[in-house]
Order: sequence, then C-alpha cells, then structure tokens
Amino acid sequence: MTRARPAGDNPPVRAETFDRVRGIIARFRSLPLEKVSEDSRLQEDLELDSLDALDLIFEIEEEFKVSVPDDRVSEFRTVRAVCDGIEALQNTAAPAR
Amino acid sequence: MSGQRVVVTGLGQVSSLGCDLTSFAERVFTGRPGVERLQGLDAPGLEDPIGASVSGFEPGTWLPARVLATTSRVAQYACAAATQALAASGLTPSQRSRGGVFVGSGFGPIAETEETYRICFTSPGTRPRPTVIPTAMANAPAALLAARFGLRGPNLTLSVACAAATHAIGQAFRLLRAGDADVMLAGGAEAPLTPIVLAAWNAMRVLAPAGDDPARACRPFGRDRQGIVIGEGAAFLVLETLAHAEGRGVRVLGEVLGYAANADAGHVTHPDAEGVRSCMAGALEDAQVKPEAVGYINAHGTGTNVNDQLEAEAIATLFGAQAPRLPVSSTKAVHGHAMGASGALEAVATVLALEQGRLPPTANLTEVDPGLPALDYLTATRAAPVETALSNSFAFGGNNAVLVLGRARQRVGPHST
Repeated sequence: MTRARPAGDNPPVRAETFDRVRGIIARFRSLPLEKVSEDSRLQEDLELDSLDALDLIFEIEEEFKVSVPDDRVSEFRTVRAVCDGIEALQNTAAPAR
Repeated sequence: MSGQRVVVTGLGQVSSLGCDLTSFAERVFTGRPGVERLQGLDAPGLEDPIGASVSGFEPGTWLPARVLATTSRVAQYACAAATQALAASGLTPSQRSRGGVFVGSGFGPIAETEETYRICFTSPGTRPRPTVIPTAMANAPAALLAARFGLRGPNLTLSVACAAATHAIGQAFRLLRAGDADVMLAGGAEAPLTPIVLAAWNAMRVLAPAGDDPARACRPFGRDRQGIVIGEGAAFLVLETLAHAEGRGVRVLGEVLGYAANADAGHVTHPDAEGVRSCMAGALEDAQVKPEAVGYINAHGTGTNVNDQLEAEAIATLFGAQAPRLPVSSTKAVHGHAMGASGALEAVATVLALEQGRLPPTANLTEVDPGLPALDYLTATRAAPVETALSNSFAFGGNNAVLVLGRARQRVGPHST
C-alpha cells in the first residue's frame, strides 16, 4: 500500500479517511482490502456501475455524516477523489445532515 | 383461432416442494404437501402462522453474490425457476436474444418494500438506499431475467393478483400465436410470506388454521375445508412456436391450445360462477376444443368455502352431463396458494400430467363436500392418457384466466446440430 505521492499532487489524504473508505468499498464489493488503493478508479478498476456508485456514496454519507451535493457526485471517480471530497465536505461550514 | 401453434419446451420451478422439477413432480403426484409452521415470523394478529414456504433454497446457486445484494427474494425465485426452464429448453444465447419475458406477480418484491418501510418508519432519520427502487419495483424480477439470460424481446410484468401467472402465460401464448415472437419465457413469481401480508390475509379470515398437522391444513373441495394456505415460489415455461421448436429439433413437452381472460365486473373478492364459467367457455372456444374433449381440470381450488363451491358449480354448468366423469383436482393443497405464481406452478403440474399420463390428486381430500356438484374429484393419483386439460385461475378483482393445455402431439428428435 502506498500513500506517498509526488510533490505537487493533491493534498495527502488522511490515513483515517482512506482506511474507512477502503473498508466500505472492500465490504461493498466483497474485495480484499489490498485490492483497493487511492488510485483505484471506481468504474474501471472496481467495476462500480452508476447505481453502485450511488449506493457507495450513500454508504459514505452514512459513515462520515456528510451530505454529498448532487453536482459533486460526478467528481467521485477515484478513491482519492472520494477521500478528498469527504474531507472537503467535512471542512465546509455546511451542517451535516 | 388460427395462427402459429405454440408449444412448451422447458419447465422450471421453485416452491415448497423443492427447487427442481423432479422434486415438484414427485410431491405433486403423490400429494405430499410442503406446508409447515413458519418459525420466527411475527405476523400481527396471527398466533400460529403456517405457509408453504420455500426451504433449502440457496440463492448463491442461481445468482452471483454481487447481483444478490440488490435482488429481491421474489426475483431470486424467478431466476432459479427460469434458469431451469431455459436449460431444459436448450435454447442457445442467440436463440434467446429475440425472446421476451412475461412475469406474473401479485405483490412483486413486497418483502423488501415492507422491510424498507419498517426501518424508515421505526428509525426516524433513516433514509432508503438508492438501490431500493430498482430492487423493489414491481418489474424488477422481469428485468433481472432479461439481463441474466439475454432476452431482448418484450418484457412485461402482469400484476393480476392470484391469476397473474396464468395471464402471463396466456398473453405470451397470444403473442407467439400471432407470429409476433418466436420464443417467450412466461410464468410467475411470488414471495408473500411476510409479516404484514400474512397478517392482512388473516384479517380477511380466509387463512386455514394450523391445527395439529399444518400439512393437512389446506383441503380444497373437502367437507372440512377451512381456507387457504399461502405459498411462495416461482415457475416458468419456455414457450415457442412449433415451427421454431421443430427448426431446432427440440423435444416438445406440451402445447398451449387456448386462453381466455375476463372480469366479473362485480364484487372485488366474491367470485361469480357465471364469470368463471364463461371464462372456461371462452378458453375452449379460443382453442377450438369442445368441452367433451377435456380430460382434466387443474382447478383454482383455493380451499375456501366460496371459491370451491362456485368453481365446482361453474364446471358443472359448463360441462353438463359430462361433469360427473370429469377429473378435477387442486394442487394448491401441496404447493399452497402462491398468489401470482400459482397459475404457473399449476400450469407446470398440468403439462407434467399430460406428458406423463397421470393426474395429480387433491391432497388432504378425504371426504368431498356433499354440497358440491358432482365432479370426478381426484383423491389419488390416476393414470390417464389425457389429451386436453384446463388450468384455472381466478383473482381478487373478479379477474379470471383459463388456459387450455394439450399433450404434445408432435415430437421431434434430439438436437440435430
């Protein structure tokens, strides 16, 4: 498992966020944890179709007590983007549901 | 009515009698009911629930884990029965690609709907998952079958209560007869053994009590009949035009000769003997078969006082002097009243009866109600080379459906390819 990324990449994803997201996806897709990396693409690598992705976002909302706006859903293409999105939502002033 | 001849080339089922056709046939013809106490099912107001529940069903045998997560129980049953029927038919993927799917179901994925409501209403703030709609929509089983088997033809779900599957088979028959399709997968699926569905049926005071022996609870046409026992499961028939079946050299199991549908246009729950009679008459006319050619009737035969009385009267009226010699039985005593799947389970039983030359009994029928008109009520399996049979289904809503089924008249050799 690698978390280190080159300088200039997106801000590092907190280990805790990634671990929780990875756990959700692994359980969701019945995959071993090591099959899910930050670089995993939801559609191409994890074979999540559009409905699966909605269900995954539902799980994430429940887990992290955040509400993903409809116009942000399409940004969630990789595990890293999911983690970044969660952290961004957690850092906004918008109240959790 | 002229048009394409329509034959049966595959059968499959899941029910309380087992998850394969052999188990079903063995228990239907020996009259061994699949009715048991429903342990752990808490139906409000129902102290000792019984049902003809599917046991020994392994969903993973029929569907991959990933699909199962968003597949309702009723769709799982449908998939298992359809898998068997399609395998028996020997249809190749390319032959299936033009095939359609007609599924009868009274309730659809009611267990999942009920559970979602329960969770959301009892735990404030709980949201339904995004998969609830595609899982619990009424046509989810039909959609699953199309996707699973590459059936790209017309895909309909017929919700007609207890006559749903009979309509699905009948409507598929009409499509084939008209030449608008070559192959159809038709049948029904139901999984109604849920707390609220059972409690609601109980509220109508039509459920047979458990008694000392639940297997004896359903006694259609009996002097001591006491109501229905709800069942569950699915059954499917592969139907195709005779020309298509002959073209691929497949064995024909039976033939659909006719179908009729009508409505009593009266009371929502109380059947009308004239509506039932005219539906049977209409099906015979559709098949161009005279009443005297009918050698067996698989009755709707729910085991309620009203249904069995009115159905027997309708049969007696239609068949006249022949009626006392006309073999009649209800297989619901063994597989229960599987609601929208019943008509398909009974059509399968009837095709097997025609194919095997033996008629199934009404299990638990030890003493025929003397108040019923004289018919030849079958109390034991009977060897009889019958050419033509009726399969009756009558639904709440005053909705009647009758199929005329025939013994295979033409059998072609095994696959020549």
